Amino acid sequence: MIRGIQGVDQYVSGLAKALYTQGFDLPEVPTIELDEAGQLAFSIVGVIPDVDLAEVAEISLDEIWRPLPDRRWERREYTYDLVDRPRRRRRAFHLHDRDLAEAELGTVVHEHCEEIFGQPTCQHYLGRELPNGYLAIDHLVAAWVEPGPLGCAALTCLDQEPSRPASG
Amino acid sequence: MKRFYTPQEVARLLGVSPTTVMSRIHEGALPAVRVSERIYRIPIPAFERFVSTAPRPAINVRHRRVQRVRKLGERIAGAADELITA
Repeated sequence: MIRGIQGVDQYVSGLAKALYTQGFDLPEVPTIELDEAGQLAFSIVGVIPDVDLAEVAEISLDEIWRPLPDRRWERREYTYDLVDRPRRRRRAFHLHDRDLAEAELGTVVHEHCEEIFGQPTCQHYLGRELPNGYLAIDHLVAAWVEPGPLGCAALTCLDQEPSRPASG
Repeated sequence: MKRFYTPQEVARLLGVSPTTVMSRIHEGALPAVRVSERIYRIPIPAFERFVSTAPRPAINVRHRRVQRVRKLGERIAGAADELITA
């Protein structure tokens, strides 16, 4: 995904509106950060309280965009996460630094799936690159509404070693 | 605790036909998630927002210059620690 600054702006605003429309509250104003290397980054957080519990479920959409010539940027990394505290589980789609991820996992994208949050049976699952954050919202909201198991057992584990309780 | 309505339930709540509900979903007017080829679910908070007459807040985007953008994943690592120790 490649966009100019105005396009990134509209994209971030559109993601925030999509989360709001799905019923999530936005506790923070979405902010695009620009660093000295010319990278753009943003984080959008949507929270939804459980009806009878004080805990909230949280969807966070984080992306880093690298600069290209002509004042354009390309999405380089993303983490799209659902942390469902009331149900104590997690679902996520990640694309980290391409070179590093490929060297460590043999693939640039991976997924996280924890039927019990903090106790993954696999650290990294095989995933496919999501073309944009809108699709991530669809997947994560679908996981949020799902009353049954997330279906982690049906995913393909990428880990070479047995899993340990950690995250990332 | 149930978190979604089916299109049939929404139809009953709105007093319209399920076909009308599906049309609104396909138009993008009614937020829904597709859980399989033919099954849609409407998150209850999304439905409540859909029928609410409260004005929608303006969603603006801020810009900030920083020395270096933060690494991804820090928030989730913190949330994991919080739940593991809870």
